[in-house]
Amino acid sequence: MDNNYLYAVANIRANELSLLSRADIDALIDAPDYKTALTLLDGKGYDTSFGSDYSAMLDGETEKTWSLIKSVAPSAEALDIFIIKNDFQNLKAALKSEKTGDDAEKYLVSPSVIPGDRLLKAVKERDFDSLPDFISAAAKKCFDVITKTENGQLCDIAADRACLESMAGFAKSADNDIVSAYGDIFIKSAVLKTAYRAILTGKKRGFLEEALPDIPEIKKADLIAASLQGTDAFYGFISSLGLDSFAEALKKSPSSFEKYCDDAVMENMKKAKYTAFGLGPLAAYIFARMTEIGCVRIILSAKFNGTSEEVVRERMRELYV
Amino acid sequence: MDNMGLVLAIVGAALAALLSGLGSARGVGLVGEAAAGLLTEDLSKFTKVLILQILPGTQGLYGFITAIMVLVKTKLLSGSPAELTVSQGLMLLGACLPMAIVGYFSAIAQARVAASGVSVVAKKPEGQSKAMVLAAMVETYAVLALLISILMILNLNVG
Repeated sequence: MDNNYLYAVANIRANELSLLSRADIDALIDAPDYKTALTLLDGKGYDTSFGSDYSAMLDGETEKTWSLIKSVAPSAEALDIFIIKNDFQNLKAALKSEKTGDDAEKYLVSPSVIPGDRLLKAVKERDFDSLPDFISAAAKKCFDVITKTENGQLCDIAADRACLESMAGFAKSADNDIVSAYGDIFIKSAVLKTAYRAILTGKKRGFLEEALPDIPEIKKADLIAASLQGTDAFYGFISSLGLDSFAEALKKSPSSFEKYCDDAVMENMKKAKYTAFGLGPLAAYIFARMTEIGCVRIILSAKFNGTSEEVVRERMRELYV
Repeated sequence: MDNMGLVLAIVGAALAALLSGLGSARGVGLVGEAAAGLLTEDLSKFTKVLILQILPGTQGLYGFITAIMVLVKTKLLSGSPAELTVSQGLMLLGACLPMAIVGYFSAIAQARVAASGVSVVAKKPEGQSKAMVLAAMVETYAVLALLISILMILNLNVG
């Protein structure tokens, strides 16, 4: 019932005031050096005590966002759709470290639905049934793959596919249009990206069969057939799905495609500005913060690497506020 | 049953107080929840959201007034209740229904508008009066229901 999130939505509305605006992002890009950019971020509530380790600072900001959401809406499981990719990332790290004997903890990412140490313990003890439903079968399958083939790449392919299928499940059960649309766009773009990369790297049918998930919106057999014929057939297939704008963005460059997909999600998220009920505003806030943190990461990295202002501006995503 | 008319009149009064009160309790609670969400981040907006929270509380008051009028009309408060026929009791029961039903639903509808108003105050505190006007629009129908209930109760020939 959407009345369940009244407290959370009002709280998030107050927090939206501290989101970075386009003017803030422009000021960051215009900042003459890294130190000035950091000072600007400090004024916007970022914890700049990490100094030059901006990655740690931004990871902290991501954690902060998720902690806020969990504190105001502890039972909003549908929002886990935003972080389950981290669980699958951790699963890959845990399985590979089992094979190589590396310390997996340093590869764990957060926030995640399953605490990293719990996932590591489950993998170490082969106790996959103790994991939540969305990942347990995938964990067992990936374990079998890496045990039988000792091929980390095949394990990654299986995990990435399982991640998309789990996200599709979350999107379907979300009972919220904004969350479902996020899942829908994310999954479609991931499927198209996988197929596109497979074409560019000359992958065969076997790879596509393994890597592509079954989703109702894109018929897998047709996508594979089109992908095996080359890029023109692939673009034609995307257009036949009514996704011409996706095809156009992909034709420009992979980074244009990424930007197009992120902006399309943001357009959908902006609908949440006009509702005071339900999960939509919470989902929109999470995505707004993820986008903001992504933009800040690009800007700060450019300050270090000397990337031109023009290139940085091109990479900036649509913001929520 | 003796004095069945009086029983029906009391049921009417009870419904007016009960349903309107329930609607208001739910409504004030809903807005209060939203207000608490905002106050967690910004205590300075307490007065602005308190006004919004109060708005769905009026239906409960209207239901109370309607019930009191029935009690006065039937002389229950004086200690010697009037003898009412079944049709007179039914008429008083019917007179209470507009306030009972409209009171319940309008309080909840008003609460949803007021809770949305809390989001307006969170982002644009200067928009509080506009948010209040939007919520107050719903009040119109509670007031109309109160008026019709009162007119009917006053003009029924009872006792």
